Amino acid sequence: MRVGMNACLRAGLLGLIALAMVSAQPHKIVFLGSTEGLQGAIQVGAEEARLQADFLNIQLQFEQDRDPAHAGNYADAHAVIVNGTPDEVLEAARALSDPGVPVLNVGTGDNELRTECRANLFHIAPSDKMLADAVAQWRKTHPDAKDVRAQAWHPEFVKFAARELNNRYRKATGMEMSDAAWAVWAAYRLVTTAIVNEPEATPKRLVEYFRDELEFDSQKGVFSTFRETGEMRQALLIVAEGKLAGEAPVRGAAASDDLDSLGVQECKP
Amino acid sequence: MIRTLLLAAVLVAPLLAHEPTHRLFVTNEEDNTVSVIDSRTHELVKTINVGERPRGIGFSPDHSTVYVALGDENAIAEIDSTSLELLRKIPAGSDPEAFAVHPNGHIYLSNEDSGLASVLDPKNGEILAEVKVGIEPEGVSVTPDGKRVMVTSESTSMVHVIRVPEHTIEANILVGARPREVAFSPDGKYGYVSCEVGGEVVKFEVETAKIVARKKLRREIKLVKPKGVRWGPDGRIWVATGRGDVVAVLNADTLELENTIPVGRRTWGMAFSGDGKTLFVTNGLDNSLSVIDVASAKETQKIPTGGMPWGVILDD
Repeated sequence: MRVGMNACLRAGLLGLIALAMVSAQPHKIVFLGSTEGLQGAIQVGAEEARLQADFLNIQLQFEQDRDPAHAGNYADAHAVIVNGTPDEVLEAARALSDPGVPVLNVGTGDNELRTECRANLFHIAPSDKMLADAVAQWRKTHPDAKDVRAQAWHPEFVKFAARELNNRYRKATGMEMSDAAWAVWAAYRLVTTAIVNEPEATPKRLVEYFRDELEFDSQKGVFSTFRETGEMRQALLIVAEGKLAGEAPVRGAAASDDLDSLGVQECKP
Repeated sequence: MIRTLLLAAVLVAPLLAHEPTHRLFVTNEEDNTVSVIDSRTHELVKTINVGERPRGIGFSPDHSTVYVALGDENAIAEIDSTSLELLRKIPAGSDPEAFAVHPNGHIYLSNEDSGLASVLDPKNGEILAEVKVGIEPEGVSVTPDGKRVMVTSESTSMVHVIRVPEHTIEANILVGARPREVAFSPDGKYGYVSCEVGGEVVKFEVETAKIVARKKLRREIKLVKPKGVRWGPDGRIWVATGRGDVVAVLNADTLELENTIPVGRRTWGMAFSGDGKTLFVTNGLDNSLSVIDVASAKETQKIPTGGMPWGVILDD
């Protein structure tokens, strides 16, 4: 009985402390740019993020703004997810570099943008080079392969709980999860993975956390981290002759966990 | 006279304690079967066609019944552990994956695609409670005192601590990426969680839900993906490391890695023999069950199973 009382008291006190923390510091996450075809991904990503935060009494606040040029208005955000052209993404990163708000690129695979290596700029969408490297690895091990392309995601992918994510997305949106949708979902989940692990973190500290500590479950088997360029290390999927054929890093061409065999490694001088 | 004997038999039968059969029961996810193997001779006793996508497996408190979660049939199958007959299937909510049987006989199970932990009374098939947990709930364990049930949610990276019998969430413990299972020290003081994608084992204090130690195994074990975790008969923590293709043995206090035992590919399910001398682990990509001698920490044999063996339990 006494144990029960103690537990009760403790839970009550913890609850009060949690409430005080919540009102003091909501975490704002902003989506910047066109949401065309992406509302489903924003919804699923944000809802899954909120569920995780709710269990820990951490409050999240989601906003959207269709104009990528408005980045400067969100200096109070904890993270800004940008869907835009390479110039728009770079401009957003510049506009938020002083408060040091992390900017997550979900829309462009531009290689050059990766060589900019701005401290607060992170790339969730795979670079064009990352995709090309994956195709090259596949061709090396499958010399007769035709019509090969690499993707960030595939609606028929089932391994590593990809089946579960595909099912959730289908159920919530009635659509198949595209590469772009996956990147948006991943951005929301990645930001909140950092926030729930570091609920007291300033945006600047989140940038450090992304670079040094984050281990994000991309639901592609190997956890993701960021490399020097700000590019997210991730596994890719190989589609050959219109069908899901395998994963990259491609066994035989690279070790299956060697994510650095894919993508942009160097910053511009 | 005969009538009296029959009557006596009817009266006595339910009172007879279940005698251990020393049989291993292995769920084969790909084949939709359960392999029944004699744990002493390592011979296949029977292959039971159980239903679609069998994964989680466990005994009733008296071991007379084997329960099998059938993910694609939204049901729990009941098998008589002596006659090996498939008795019936109980509706168990959407996509049951793993479960634990409470000493009171209730089945606590995770419904993977609906984010729920459900409490099922197998006697009447009634769902007694549903608790909303995180995304992709997976491993379910009951504390030794039966007062708490812990459910991991893989995509929310948490252990949810549920009070019994209130069925309210008492705490949520944020751990590494993709937590799969929880094991407890026999005194119920500590819980040990395997985090598959994080490649780590996290130790927490049950009473306070505070993390007290964590150990990343990636440096020592290539491609490590911890799944099965057990408090071993030697007081160490035994971990099936998935594509690490080894069983890892950790110090229960510090979580330091003390030993690795090479087994087959993608090792997940684990069962110790009653005498604590032998460990059996499933190798999902080799369609086999490794037999490990606990004292020498060596694999002594691989027993063939069905396709993609997932879980294993032993009636010992």
